[in-house]
Amino acid sequence: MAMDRRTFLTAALGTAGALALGGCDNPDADGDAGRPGPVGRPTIRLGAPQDFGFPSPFTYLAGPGYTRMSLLYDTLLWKDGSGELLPWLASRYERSDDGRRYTFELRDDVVWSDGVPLTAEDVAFTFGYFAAQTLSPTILAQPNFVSEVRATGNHIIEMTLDVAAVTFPEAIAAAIPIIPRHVWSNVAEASKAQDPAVLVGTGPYRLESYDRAQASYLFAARDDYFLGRPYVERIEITAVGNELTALLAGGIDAAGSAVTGVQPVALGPFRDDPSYGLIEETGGFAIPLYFNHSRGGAMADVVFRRACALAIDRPNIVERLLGGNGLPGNPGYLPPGHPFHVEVEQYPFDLEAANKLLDSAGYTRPGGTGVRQAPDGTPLRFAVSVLNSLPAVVELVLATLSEVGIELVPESLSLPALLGARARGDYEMTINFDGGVGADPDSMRRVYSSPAGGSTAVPGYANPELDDLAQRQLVTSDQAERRALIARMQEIVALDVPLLPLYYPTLYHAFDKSVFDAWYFTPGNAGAAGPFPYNKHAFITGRISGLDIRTVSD
Amino acid sequence: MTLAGAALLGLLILVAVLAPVLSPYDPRDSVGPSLQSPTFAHLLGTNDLGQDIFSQILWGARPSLLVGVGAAALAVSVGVAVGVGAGLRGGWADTIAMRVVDVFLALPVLPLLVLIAALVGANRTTLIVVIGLVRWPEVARLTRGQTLSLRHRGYVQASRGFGGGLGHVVRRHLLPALGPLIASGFVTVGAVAVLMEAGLAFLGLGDTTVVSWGLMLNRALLFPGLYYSALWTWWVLPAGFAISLAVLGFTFLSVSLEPRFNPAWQRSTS
Repeated sequence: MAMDRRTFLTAALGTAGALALGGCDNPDADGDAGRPGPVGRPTIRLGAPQDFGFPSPFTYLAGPGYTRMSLLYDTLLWKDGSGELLPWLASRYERSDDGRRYTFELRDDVVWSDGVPLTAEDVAFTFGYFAAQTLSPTILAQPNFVSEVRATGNHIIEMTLDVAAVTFPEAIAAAIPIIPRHVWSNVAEASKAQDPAVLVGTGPYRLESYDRAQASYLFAARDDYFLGRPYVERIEITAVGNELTALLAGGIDAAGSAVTGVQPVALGPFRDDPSYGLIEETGGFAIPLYFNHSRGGAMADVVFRRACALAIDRPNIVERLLGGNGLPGNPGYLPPGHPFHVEVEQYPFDLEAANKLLDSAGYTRPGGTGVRQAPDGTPLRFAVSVLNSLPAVVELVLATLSEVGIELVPESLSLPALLGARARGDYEMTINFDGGVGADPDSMRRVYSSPAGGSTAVPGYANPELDDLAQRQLVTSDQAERRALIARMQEIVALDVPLLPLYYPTLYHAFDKSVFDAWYFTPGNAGAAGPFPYNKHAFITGRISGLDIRTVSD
Repeated sequence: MTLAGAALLGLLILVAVLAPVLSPYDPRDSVGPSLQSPTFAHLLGTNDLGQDIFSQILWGARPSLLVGVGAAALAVSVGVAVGVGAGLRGGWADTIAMRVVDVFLALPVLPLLVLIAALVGANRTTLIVVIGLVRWPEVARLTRGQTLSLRHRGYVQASRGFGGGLGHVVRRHLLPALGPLIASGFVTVGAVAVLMEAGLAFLGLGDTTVVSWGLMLNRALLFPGLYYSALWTWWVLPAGFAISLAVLGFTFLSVSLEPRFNPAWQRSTS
């Protein structure tokens, strides 16, 4: 049912009035009992810097796009704030001893938003349909490993995998959105379907309106949701230039810091005022510098890449750019603090060592100044693609690289263009994003293993030992062995430097506690979204873990 | 007003030329603590990367002036050539030239610049060329009008009657008579060019490798929490002030020159 303007306004006024009147049902026990708490089911207003695509499983853009889509579609399993996988569309599942066969039993009380009941046929159809489509590499949830899916009963599905991937429950069952057969069987090219009528999901919300130009998404709760009536009634996302400032001005109810990180000064107002909550996470997100090995020359030369690592002052980037709100990039990829992280070669900032290394490999610099030349005579001058709102980090990187005779020419791109260029390998160097560093370490396989070829992969890099290790860690069910294999992978990539993580920004999320306070960063990410605190589980239950829905006082 | 304009522009030129001498620091080096408020060591404080803002302001005069002067020179050269040519030749050449002028005058300049900057990137050369090429028609129209009137003056007629060639007439009689008009056109285009250069850099479409006032503003406004403290007073205001002064200098000059030299003004005031 579409809401017209008048009912929309009434609802908005109702919410505002409720907030003004206040109540004392504030469940957080940190001494704010006197403050007004929410009355009735809350509406959460959020801001975003830009549009993240039409929220279908085939057209969304990046992690924030996946998050929007996940409000409309469910997966077989899903994580809550404890990081545990909860039964979601599937009420239970079994794994065969060889790890290659999974049997899922679906809940029998789930209906699509158009009233049709969910069946095992829909799940089987979903995997077949995903496999048959040509998906943009920027679509994060892709059904890898799955070779066969069969509906063996009205609510029973059997899946067979090509390899006994231990990450299957988290990476696939809790990431691939299940789509209705009766809608998509008529759609030939999923990536072109932009009609709101195709957005039939089992999810807790329905899309009330979407305006690409305004980057606005209005979601309204489905009262017939199978877990119960969602705690948060409406989620309204609109474009704002600076989320933190918009929150301070009262225009939105929660704001994330830019994924590129923030200086402490930007968080001051939220730390000082007890009516705001502030949560943070470090190590879920990386800003890596990619080298395109397939371009050959210096890019494919490990000595050149090590010299770059030596000549980029990563601790200084964290200090200058973020005032310490983050961690310097680790050449071993996994951030310190990750359960699988091991100590590896760090290439501490040393311009002299970088110069020596470049000299020894035949990168000449007559007179000791200016741009160096590779042994074949080409100058060490490279275009580096960067996000148009991230100029400062580039400036720091190119300042010190120029001191060792490596010249970078920055090229500003919008976020979709930047992510697209990386997925296609269409760049020389790029300072990009990776929201997988804090998740399961299988992310290393997707980045470094040459057969994986995902959207975050390093083009042209191939190390047979690493490929072998990456495949073995994927299928071993022995935790100690997996740990050892991943430790070795980190050592290898620290020596090869296929890409260089520049820094891991601390991500912050500030929010107005009186509107909604159950915000959390999902450990290891929710679904295929990056480390963003927009897990639908929180919106549905109003809690951090479990499936119990918070009661609403009227 | 002429004096004020000339003084401002003179100052701008002086700062641009002497930037390496006057600047206490390299504008691209991190020379102090980040986000420091103004001190004796850093007269206008530092930005997020610890770069000295005073030095950046001084160096920022260079791209502004270069684009301003370059674009103005280009616009005036093309404009005068077309205007004088059309005025002297008359007939179909004049008609065609003036229709082209009309088309160019109708072009919305800023959207066009944004488009070009986004497509091919806005380094200084592109900026000069594009601003010069969209701004010549005004100069052309004015010089054509003046040429038409000069052509029928006695001394020009006499010069031609005694066998003076076209080149001779242009050099000897027309250009000196058009001089003031050229000067006023030059400063008018210069003001617009300075503003556009800063505007594009501010929008993030400028040359990101050169320190410029517009880029300083662009960087500052990308900084989350800019307005939560007094930070903006030393990071945003100086660059904004510098742009305003430069534009003001060009504008003062052009406004004070225009009534003296623009024939339309002379007719309406006499």
